[in-house]
Amino acid sequence: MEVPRRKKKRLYLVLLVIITLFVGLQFFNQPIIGKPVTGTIEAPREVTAILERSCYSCHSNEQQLSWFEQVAPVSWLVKKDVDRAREVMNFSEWGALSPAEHQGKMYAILNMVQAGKMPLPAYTLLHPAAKISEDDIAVIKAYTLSLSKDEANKTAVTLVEQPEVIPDRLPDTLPISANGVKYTDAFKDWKVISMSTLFDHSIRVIYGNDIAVKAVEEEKFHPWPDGSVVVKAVWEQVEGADGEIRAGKFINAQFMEKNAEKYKDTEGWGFAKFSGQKLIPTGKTALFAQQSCIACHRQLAASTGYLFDVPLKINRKGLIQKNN
Amino acid sequence: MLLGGMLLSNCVDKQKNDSYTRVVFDPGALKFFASSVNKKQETMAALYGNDKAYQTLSKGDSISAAGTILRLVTWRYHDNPQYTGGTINGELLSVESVYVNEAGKASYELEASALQSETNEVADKQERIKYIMSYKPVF
Repeated sequence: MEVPRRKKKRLYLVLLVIITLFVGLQFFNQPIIGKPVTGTIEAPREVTAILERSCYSCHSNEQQLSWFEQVAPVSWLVKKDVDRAREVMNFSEWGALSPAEHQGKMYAILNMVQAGKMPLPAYTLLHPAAKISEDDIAVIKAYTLSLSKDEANKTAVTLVEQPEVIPDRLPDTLPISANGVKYTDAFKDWKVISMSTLFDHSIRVIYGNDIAVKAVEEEKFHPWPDGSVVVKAVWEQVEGADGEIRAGKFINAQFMEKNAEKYKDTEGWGFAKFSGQKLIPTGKTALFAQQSCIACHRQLAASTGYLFDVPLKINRKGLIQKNN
Repeated sequence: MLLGGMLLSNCVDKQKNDSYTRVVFDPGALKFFASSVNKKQETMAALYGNDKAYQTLSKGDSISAAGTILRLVTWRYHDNPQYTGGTINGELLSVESVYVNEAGKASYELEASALQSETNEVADKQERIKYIMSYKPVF
């Protein structure tokens, strides 16, 4: 008779410890910081209805959390997700965005939902109502593409003039990004790995250093070798009388530099963007890459080691390559 | 099981299919000068050249510098499979070259023998030379 009583006592003790720990955890429960709604997204109601239903819980200042999401330790995970989500995109602070940024964010949303990366599968498991349907995607796509058409209509057809050149810089005046990525003129002599355009009416040329070119040719993407550097030079499109597009005003040079140790938080890639003739680096702190670069690269370009614009694998081997 | 096996073997076949590759054009000693996009033809082109060509194009001289070599590499473009809203170059279609001799005379050459497209007929070589020389370097 003594044994079961002892067992019971032990069970009560264990329960008491668990409850005490659980209650104790709540003292370390940091609530999500309440922030005002400074300007919500303006879009057709059918679009905002989808965003409110599927995205606002994390990407806004208007969280409607379930009770279990407010209790530690679940609340810690929720807070981490919400903080990160708000950094990347916040529908409650949308007023600060320019029309071009609005368009860019809509394309990011479209690509994320199309690829099934957002909402996070773990989130929809607990919140099935937040799931995005094919119809929802079609609504978002139609709206996003309509923004491009609006923009296109606004763009006047101008004759091709001299493209704006990227200035050469003296070695001691090379700009450095907040995360340590240093600008270099050297890319102008590197091989062009690909060319691209984007919805924002830009024309782009992507250069790779020797390590990066070798990695492309040998498909060494997982991971890319340290020392790979890829530079994307971006110009505004200028349309000639015959409809052909060439480079106009120089917009920026975007760097991706591989160093697994140095750039641990961004999948080993150091991101940098140097804009305008003064090549001003984007980002006041090193955090900018986590806030505005890696999210899309991580979710949408994982198959090529987090790089968009890797040459497509569609050319037969043995094409002529003439040397001089 | 059967379907799974088929999918797996298909995937493995693709991995092993090494007749396709990711091509980075090797311009040899030439340097990249400029690019263009032709929406009607769904093509993108990259122009490469040597130092003499740079002189010719950047100054816009009516007389081409002797020794000028220009090479225009044209690709078909596609929607970027990784990002809706973007396009990227795909199949290599043609490589055209312009050479300027000591007398300042430009000649044209189309290298298409091993390429995927059958664009071997060039209607007007002088037109192509004029077109290739119309580019301005971005550096």
